[in-house]
Amino acid sequence: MLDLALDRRLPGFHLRTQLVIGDGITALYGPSGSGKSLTLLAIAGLIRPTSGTIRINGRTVFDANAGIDLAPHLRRVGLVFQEYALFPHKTVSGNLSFGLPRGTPKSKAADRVNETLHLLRLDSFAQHYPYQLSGGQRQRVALGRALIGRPEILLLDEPFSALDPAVRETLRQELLQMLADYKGTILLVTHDLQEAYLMASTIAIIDGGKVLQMGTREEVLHQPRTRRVAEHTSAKNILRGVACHDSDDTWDIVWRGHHLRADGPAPAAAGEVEFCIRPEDVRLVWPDRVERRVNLLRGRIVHELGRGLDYVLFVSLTDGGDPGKYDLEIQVRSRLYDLMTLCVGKEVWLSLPPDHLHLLAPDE
Amino acid sequence: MIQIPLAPLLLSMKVAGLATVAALVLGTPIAWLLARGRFPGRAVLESIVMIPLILPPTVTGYYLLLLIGRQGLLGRLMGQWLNIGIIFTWKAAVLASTIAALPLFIKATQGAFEGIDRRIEDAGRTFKPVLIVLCTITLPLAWRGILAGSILAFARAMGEFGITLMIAGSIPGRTQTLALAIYDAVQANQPQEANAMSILATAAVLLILALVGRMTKVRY
Repeated sequence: MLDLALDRRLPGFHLRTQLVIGDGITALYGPSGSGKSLTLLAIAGLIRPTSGTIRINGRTVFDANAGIDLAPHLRRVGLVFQEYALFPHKTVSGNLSFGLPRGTPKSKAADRVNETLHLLRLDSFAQHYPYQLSGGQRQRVALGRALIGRPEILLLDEPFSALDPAVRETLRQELLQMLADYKGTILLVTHDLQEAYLMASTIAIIDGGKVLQMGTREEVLHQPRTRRVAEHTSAKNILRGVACHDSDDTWDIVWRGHHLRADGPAPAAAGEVEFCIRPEDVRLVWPDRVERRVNLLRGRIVHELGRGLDYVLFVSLTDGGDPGKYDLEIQVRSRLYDLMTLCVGKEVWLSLPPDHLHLLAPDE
Repeated sequence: MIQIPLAPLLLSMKVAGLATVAALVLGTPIAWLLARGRFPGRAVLESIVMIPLILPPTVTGYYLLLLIGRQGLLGRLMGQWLNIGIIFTWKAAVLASTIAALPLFIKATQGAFEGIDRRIEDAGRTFKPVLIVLCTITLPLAWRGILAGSILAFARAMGEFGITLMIAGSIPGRTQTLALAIYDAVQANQPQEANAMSILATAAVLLILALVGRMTKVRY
């Protein structure tokens, strides 16, 4: 359990993060320069916020007003750095034992190191130096070093960015397995939305030093609160229309002359609104099944991007013939693309499912 | 058979050795401050440290003479309160060599500290207090740079001439170091002695370099 509110002004940047996170894995997701790594460093005590509080399991480790600022090694925080920051002059064993608290009896320390080596499947690497290890092995040593002292909270700063994309996939699974036994709060910093979704049950989106939205991974992906969140989660189709409240949880949006129905709670007031739909949620409709669909639109493909497993199609409703001007971006699987014999210039029917049309609140 | 005067060599070794130790003790914290510290006056400190490297040695020596001479500010204080006078003694030669060697030592050591990835130290700090991190992480990672700085300092101290002459003089058997003795020998037209001492000095320095080279082979 981590509870923090912090404020730190830097030249050209203002960090003011507020977070309450429980046990399990939470991802802190945002672009580079959004303040996510800075937040981690503040939790670990490696940078000092100007004001605010940080509590770990109810224990205050930082409180600017009360003058509390616990030294990093007293916070019971494990931190895994981006490039792992292993001690190059120490062996794997030496790196691990450095993570044990001072005053650990020698025999107990040796036991803990061996236990950890075994857990990390590094038994035969105890006397190796970091430069003799592969990227994945280094990551495991860094993780073991952070966990060996049994921290109450584990912070992971972009743990996969130093690795080849090819091994990332496997190592994510490996990391999840190794973390399965850890009972505590885990905060994972990443700039990769897919990674955030894959690793964490809860996602906090941070940008410009502020947490924009936090919720379950589905919530953040499918119900972005504001336009900026929608942009960060690649909702792509962020549209502007006029909405009026129909009935409970049903809205009527007028967009480019079409009446669209949107289901679900909306944070917006009636009137001019922004709303969004993800490219993969837009449905292509076979011409003979048009009658049964709601929110039906007709358009022409002006541009396409083949990506192997799927296609991204850019559809214009008015068809000005300019491939740079389109109204909707949609994603279809290659199989469907072939079945429907789609191509640039082809006319298509689209349906925007009402439960995937999502109204956005204005940005603060 | 010529007499090889060993006294100047031994004095030089003693003076240069002590000056190197002094540079190590004084210079390491300053180098660390310059590499890691962010404080007002950092640039000023960096410039002050470099002064002996830029000024003509005789000028540096002259300032020191004014400072620690019997009528100098520090010299008088030391004479009155501690009853010691270092001017024109071998201690002044150590001071001269230390001042000359310090900028070289600090530059090399500062570079070594700056070369350490800050995150490695930060990682250490999440486990152990700062002082332990300094002793078990920072210094072991910087020690090759510190050693290189020490060698530079020792070499510079062995060759010190100008400042030493100004504040320690060239008293045979007391403050006449190797560099001064060689100059004296040339002045007195004693080429054999100058040759012998020069070869001796070269051999001594080469020997030290070879020893240090052996000690610094590391794996990582």
